[in-house]
Amino acid sequence: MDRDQILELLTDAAVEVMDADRETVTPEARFVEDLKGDSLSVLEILEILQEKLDVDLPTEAFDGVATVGSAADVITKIVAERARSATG
Amino acid sequence: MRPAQMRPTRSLARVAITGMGVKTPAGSDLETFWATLVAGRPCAGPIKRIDPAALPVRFACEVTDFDPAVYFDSKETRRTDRVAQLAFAAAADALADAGDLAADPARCGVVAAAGVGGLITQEEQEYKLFSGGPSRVSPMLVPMMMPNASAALVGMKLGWTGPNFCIATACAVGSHAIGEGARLIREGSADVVLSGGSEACVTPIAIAAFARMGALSSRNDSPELASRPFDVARDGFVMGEGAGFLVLEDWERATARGARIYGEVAGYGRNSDAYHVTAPSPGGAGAADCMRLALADAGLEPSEIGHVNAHGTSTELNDAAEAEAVVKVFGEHALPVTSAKGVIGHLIAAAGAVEAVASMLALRDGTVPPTANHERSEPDLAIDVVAGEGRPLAAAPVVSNSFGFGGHNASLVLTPPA
Repeated sequence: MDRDQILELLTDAAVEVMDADRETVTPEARFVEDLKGDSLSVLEILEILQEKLDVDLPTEAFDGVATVGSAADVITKIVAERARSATG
Repeated sequence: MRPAQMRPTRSLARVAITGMGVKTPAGSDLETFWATLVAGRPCAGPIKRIDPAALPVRFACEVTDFDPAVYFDSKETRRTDRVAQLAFAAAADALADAGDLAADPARCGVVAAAGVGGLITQEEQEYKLFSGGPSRVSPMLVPMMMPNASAALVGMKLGWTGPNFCIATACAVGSHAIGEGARLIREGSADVVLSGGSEACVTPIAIAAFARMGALSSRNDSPELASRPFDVARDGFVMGEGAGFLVLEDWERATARGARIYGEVAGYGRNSDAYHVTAPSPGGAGAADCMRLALADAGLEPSEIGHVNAHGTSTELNDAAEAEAVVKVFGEHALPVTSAKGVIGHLIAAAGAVEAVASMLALRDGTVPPTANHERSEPDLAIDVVAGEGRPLAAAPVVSNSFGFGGHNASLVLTPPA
């Protein structure tokens, strides 16, 4: 699964959790300031992604992550590491 | 005997009931609920919300017509358990029923009865814990399962910043919430209080657990006959879900704004059996004292009470002890006794609140609703159970009882407007 696919899943989840218009959920969009989320919204989004990707997304890995794009980066990295450890 | 807690209270503020709202198996608005009660039509049926095939008891009284979208946006719906959703919906209906309160939010309080909390959410998340590990547990589990979630949600949605708390006394708590809410007004801590309770635990663990202790009726073949308070063939209660809330208001305030007043919370008694975790004290001694406390608080004699809205769960032990307690306080066959649980089942934390609503509607319409499925008492239950059809009632105070595991007792004296 590549970053674009993960970004797509993230966008779906953000639309659902924040009740946001799809066009506002850009990679640059900030979860709290731009998408009107709160401290729990990001956790809810990660919960949805965990289910869809069947991968653990530890909360601490997202410290300092403010935008949709940076969240996609972290998730992409975690998914890639898991794929490596699974095949290695 | 003079109850130890007895003290004069009539100089304190009087408490009017000016709004009521329900979400019950018998209907999610006052008139549908009341019509079903008066018709004595049992609501128990096969469990629909979950697949009950593996459960020992496969029927319950469920709320089948509740749509959260009427009261919540999608985010609120996702972040709240059904128990809190039902609570707020009933509270919002009660508030709408009360008319324009024009109250200072800091003088408005919430007292919510809590039973088992957000058990639906808790069970779902425990499954995730055991199947996927701790990282799969929802970050929303804590605020969704906490027993105070209903009180918090009602306060937050309304912006009410006055006293706000929950009480947990098992099946007694619906009446405790009303009594303690009334005390807030009496003592001057609030002008308006939304008091009530909510329960939503038609879940595998709750059904299994109550069944394992022998508290539930096991009439899987005839659910509609299962809840039969005070009947000789009763074999346990029927799990119900739902919510009821009442707007309690300072009497002077209510009359000054021209509010429609259903009646008054005139007396409140509460005590403890201090006897056994599930069985009532022998002869219903604790329940009898509790009713006496409520009568003393209201300044009324037993002979002034028109009828009793019983806890009447349809369990062997409760109904026998409660009948003995009623006889102790009022005498043999002295006044009509009814239990709503034959129709709606046992709403646990919501029971006392919903039954207080039923009591006020009985006073409004001058009718005691029948106890569904009650055909015949044991000879030694010397009470007059209203059965078959409703019975005309002259306007007179009602005693509404709630008793809970842990030996908690609560009785209310509710009076017609005057």
